[in-house]
Amino acid sequence: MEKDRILRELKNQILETKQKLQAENVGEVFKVGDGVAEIRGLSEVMYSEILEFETESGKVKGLALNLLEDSLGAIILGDAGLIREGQTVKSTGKLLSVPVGEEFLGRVINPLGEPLDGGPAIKTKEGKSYPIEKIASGVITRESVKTPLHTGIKAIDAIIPIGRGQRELIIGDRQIGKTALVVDTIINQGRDKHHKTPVCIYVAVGQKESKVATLVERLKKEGAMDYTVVVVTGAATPAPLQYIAPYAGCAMGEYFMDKGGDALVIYDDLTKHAWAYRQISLLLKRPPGREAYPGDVFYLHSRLLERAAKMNKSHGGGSLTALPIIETQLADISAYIPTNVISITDGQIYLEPELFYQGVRPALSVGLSVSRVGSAAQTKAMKRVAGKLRLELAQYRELAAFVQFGQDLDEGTKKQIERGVRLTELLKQPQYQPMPFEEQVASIYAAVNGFLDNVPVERVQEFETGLLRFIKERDGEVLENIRDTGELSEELEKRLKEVTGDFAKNYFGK
Amino acid sequence: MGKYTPKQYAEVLYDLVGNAPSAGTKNPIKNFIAAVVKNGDMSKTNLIISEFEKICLFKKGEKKIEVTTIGGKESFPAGQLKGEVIFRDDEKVLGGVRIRIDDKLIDNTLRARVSRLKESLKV
Repeated sequence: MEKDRILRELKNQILETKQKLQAENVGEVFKVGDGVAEIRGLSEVMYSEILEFETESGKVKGLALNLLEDSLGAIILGDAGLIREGQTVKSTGKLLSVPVGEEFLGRVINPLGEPLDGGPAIKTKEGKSYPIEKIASGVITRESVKTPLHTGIKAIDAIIPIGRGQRELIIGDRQIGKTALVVDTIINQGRDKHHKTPVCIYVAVGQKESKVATLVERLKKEGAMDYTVVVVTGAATPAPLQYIAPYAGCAMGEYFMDKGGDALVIYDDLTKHAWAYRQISLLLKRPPGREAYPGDVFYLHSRLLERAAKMNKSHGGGSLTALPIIETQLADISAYIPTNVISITDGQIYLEPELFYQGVRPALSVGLSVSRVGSAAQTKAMKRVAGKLRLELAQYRELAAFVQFGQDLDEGTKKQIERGVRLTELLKQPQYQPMPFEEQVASIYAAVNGFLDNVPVERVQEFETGLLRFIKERDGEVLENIRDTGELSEELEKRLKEVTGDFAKNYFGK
Repeated sequence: MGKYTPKQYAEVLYDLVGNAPSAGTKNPIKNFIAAVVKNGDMSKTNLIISEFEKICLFKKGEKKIEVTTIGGKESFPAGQLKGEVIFRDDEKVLGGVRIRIDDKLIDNTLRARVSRLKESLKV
């Protein structure tokens, strides 16, 4: 019992005859300000070690980051207002770590594992902590990405498939649906019954707290919080906490990966993370480089994203998928941080402002988006139906320019444009409505096989809804088989063709 | 001209005025201060002095020792301590002794023990 334990502890302390005295390594605060402190002393401190500032209102944690010849720069992880010049700082001999465990599921926490949702303090049964900085798994422990991670978004699952263990960047301007994409992805994980539900960790870096509150509400409403952890640092959170947030989220994901499970970590967004790191670096007087970012800003993100992995069987077979988000300014993807992260990740989903304002949502740019390893993870059924989709859409976007000039076009080109318009219409999807993968297969099958060619563009969505309802009523087994086997066998295709044909016939017969 | 650290200033000062001062320097302290002023480093004076003290002690093979108790010097037998010993009287320690040698701290005060107990009960 808790009371007994406390009494026992107290007795031991009082009766303790042998004094366990150890020399501690200490230093003094020399300068403090903007969440950063300069400390003298502490000669034996390690890089990334936790420090304890002894203030009048208790201990405040810090992190040693700049080890210089006769001083050391540290970031303050608590209330920086309590720290004064001359206060004693102790080294702890511990590297910064976060508590990890199943108990965090459904909770909203800060990067140190403290609850922000008004709930009780989180105590894990195992009492485990993971260091926030860790060298990524080596080559021997990994295997290639081969299991799909269905986002429930037709355009992504069909054209830019994501695999478990992949790092796929989501990039685009502000207010264009980047977060909407990841929220749908989280929601879909609970609905994708054919695959193990991954634990989702949403890391908000420097986001508006109102936005995070809305997101958490939505996840609760959709039942997605049961398998989700939300790590929050708001726009008003000090830069040091914003800096460690993605690493803390990653460490929590690694716990589930090490247990042989799957984890999906979303970093929203790494642009603000780079800003926080730039602020810390400048305050620590590290030399600024391009756009005032420090020289190691590439390593900042590469070491984080490299921790995403698909482990092989002998190492538990778990996976950690990373979906970093980058916000561009005026659609400039050739800026410093975007190009860095593009080169680190295994592909990117680029959201185009023009498409967004034309009403194509998700505003995914087929030409600029790519998935480098995901196609190996795509299910055979989807591969079969969506094989031509990307090419047709890309060709349509090329030809679409001609339409605007009203030029005379030959039959073939006209047909291609008509098909493209319908495909684009079909790939539009409302928010919070992820679609099961087998339904995506049926819907795209109908489009690429010409069943939509005679449907008026404005009725494509209605046709799709009707078709899916019809298939479920008439031959629901087809969808079940596609879901269970992941394949579209000739027999299944025949049945799908028949039922789609029947629906189209009835639809136009009306 | 680059910036100099307090430690670098202190080393130069020790070289100028220490046990074996560099030959041929007249008014070394005056010249040193003039150089510090010229470099705009007057704000570093306190640090230079503390670094200089450290160097002096180091050269003598001694260390700065700080002893904190209730009652200060009278309450602690300091006979065996070698080096520059500073006694501090602080009621906040509640009892026991805290000894600090450079950046090493041995804290056996009642206050520290209570605080350790408090920490262990938190977990």
